[in-house]
Amino acid sequence: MKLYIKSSDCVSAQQSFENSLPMEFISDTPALFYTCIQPEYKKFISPNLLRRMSPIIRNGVSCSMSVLKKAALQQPDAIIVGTALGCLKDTTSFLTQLIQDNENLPNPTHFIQSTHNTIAGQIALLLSCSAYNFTFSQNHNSFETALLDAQLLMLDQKANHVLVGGVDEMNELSYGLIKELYCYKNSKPGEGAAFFLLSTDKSKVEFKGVRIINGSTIDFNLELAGFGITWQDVDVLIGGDNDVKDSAYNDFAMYFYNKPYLWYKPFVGEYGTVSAQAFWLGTKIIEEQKIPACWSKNSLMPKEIKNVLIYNCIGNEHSLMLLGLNSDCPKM
Amino acid sequence: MTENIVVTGIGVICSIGTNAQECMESFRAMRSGIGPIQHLKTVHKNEFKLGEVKRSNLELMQMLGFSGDKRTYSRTTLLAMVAAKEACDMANVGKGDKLKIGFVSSTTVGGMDITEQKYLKDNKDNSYLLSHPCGDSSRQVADYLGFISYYTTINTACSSGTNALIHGVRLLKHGILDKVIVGGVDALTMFTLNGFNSLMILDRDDCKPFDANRKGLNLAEGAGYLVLERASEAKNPLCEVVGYANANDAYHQTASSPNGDGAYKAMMEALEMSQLKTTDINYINVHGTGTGNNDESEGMALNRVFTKGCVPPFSSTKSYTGHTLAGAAGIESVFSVLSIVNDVIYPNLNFTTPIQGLELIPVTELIEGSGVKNVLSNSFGFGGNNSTVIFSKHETLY
Repeated sequence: MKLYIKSSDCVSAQQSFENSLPMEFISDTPALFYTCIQPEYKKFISPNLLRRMSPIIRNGVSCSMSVLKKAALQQPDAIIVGTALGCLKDTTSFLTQLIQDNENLPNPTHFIQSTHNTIAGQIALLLSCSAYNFTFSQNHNSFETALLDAQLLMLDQKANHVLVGGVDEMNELSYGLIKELYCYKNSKPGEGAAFFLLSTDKSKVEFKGVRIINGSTIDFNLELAGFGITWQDVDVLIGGDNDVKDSAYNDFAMYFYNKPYLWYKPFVGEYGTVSAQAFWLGTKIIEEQKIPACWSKNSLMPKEIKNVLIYNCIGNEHSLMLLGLNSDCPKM
Repeated sequence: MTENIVVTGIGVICSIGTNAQECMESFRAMRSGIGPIQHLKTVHKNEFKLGEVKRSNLELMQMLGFSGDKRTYSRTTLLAMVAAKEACDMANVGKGDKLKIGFVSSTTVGGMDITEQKYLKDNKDNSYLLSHPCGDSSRQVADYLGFISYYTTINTACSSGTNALIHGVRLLKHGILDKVIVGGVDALTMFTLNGFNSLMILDRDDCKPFDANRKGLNLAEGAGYLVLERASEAKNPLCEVVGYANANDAYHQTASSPNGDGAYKAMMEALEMSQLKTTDINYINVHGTGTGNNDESEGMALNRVFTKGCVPPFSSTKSYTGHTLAGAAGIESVFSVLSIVNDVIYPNLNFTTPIQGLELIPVTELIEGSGVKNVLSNSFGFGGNNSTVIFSKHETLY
């Protein structure tokens, strides 16, 4: 069974939402972390609900609704969300109130909205969708394990259209809580949401698989064999490099020496589910069959864009995701 | 794809015992673990009863042989390590050659027990924050076990552990893993105690699940894990996982729908997968938190699935353990397996008066030797998450 990306969208620090791939970037600011460009929320969420939603829920819900709208689908067969740190703003608000007021009646709304599954729950609630509903929270593999669960659910023929995404948020209060995490030591934190409708309906972009590796090293030969491809089959790489000297990606860049190499974290920031942004970038370059120069790290451009391999690595959590061009796609 | 999945190991730690055997002894003695606060640091110390694990962090570290270890472990991580280790030892996991072994855990608070003690108080050393994310406790448990090639964490509030089981079963069926340890954990925190208190759903006395005069839940802590394997490769199966389902109530962020739509859907889909008739179910381990809303809604769903007056023997073991949040589904899955293995049905403590209109009376005395073959366990949570799993006596054990 083949699976496809029927529609996708992405909220980020760049002009990505409801847009084609940005041709240039909004220049970096001296702020401590990247903040998303806010979608026009009221297009997707009623003002009453919007007032009570934290940014992570607003971005997750808006992004999901846009994805479903693009696919002209009322309800998905499953909703699977990955989030590394969940609803940080509500968590930190509740925690701060709790500590400062010495446990004297903190605001229940912050507690209610602090659980990680509030995002998937709110999407289900807005769609009145009683289908399968999961939330994964595994640091830098949160989106990847959500994607794997979606794939297996579809291979089990339990679903034909799965809404799957990765979302995390950042704000000043939360920054105090996370700045010490090792993944942010040499990078600028960020936030964002990227959602996808994984479907059995044919589209231009095929989802060819995800491989999650927990360990100190990774054998690229073995992992490519797991995808059923070889070195030659990879046309474009998307690496998770935070800067030009990010040594975590040395082995990857070396293994695929002289292949077109794209990066994205220097423009959207680092966060737990940022690889969902790379998955969106991969989807867009296959759909559009072109790569705006600003995304390229090594200035090499492919002759054709068939297979795009995405690699992310933080500590011992590695992941590889493969997207491919479906050449017999019906005319859209 | 049609491969059957069996349970080959179980491990549990909660307020009624630090392992499966101790928990069985507490069940037989009808001894609840809910009591005055001993370990949790909170200003509400004398106001609430909790289901605490009767061990300090230091004692948990001694149990794990960490005596000289200077590293800081969250209580969540320590509880998970104890229960996961027990499950792995029983199933002899980790001693095989070149097997792909996974750990699928769940937690709602992660390292919050440490974060809440240090946040805003100690600005010199922020290294405690490393243990804050939910996924970090799973990473640490995987490191401790030493043979895990895949780990992930699910957080769907109080239904999490069953969802971990569902993800784990899928990984086995598709050959991504050869063995998987599934379940969940949560430690007690000031964060959750105040959170549930702010929602006014805590009973200050012992909780009374399914009683007309129930006042709320007793917050608790613990961990429960199962080792799952493909039936064809398992040596000593304890029982089989025959059905499971996950559905969303899509009604309210925290409350359950009056008719228990999500619960109904989860139970019906799990039954359908198991190919069992409703009359085949010998025991239901209900979610039964003891809140007005849950028990009413779950009761409605039980009557819809099994028809009023024909609901099989059921009880809420939360009357013993308290509500361990993401630990609940893992712990109650372990209890469901023990129910089949020992042919025992647990009583529901503190029950006197049925809820009007539901005509649902839980089991109130321990029943032994009634021939328990099929057990259904419910776990529901915030965000409308509803999950059901069904365990059956394995054919080789008849």
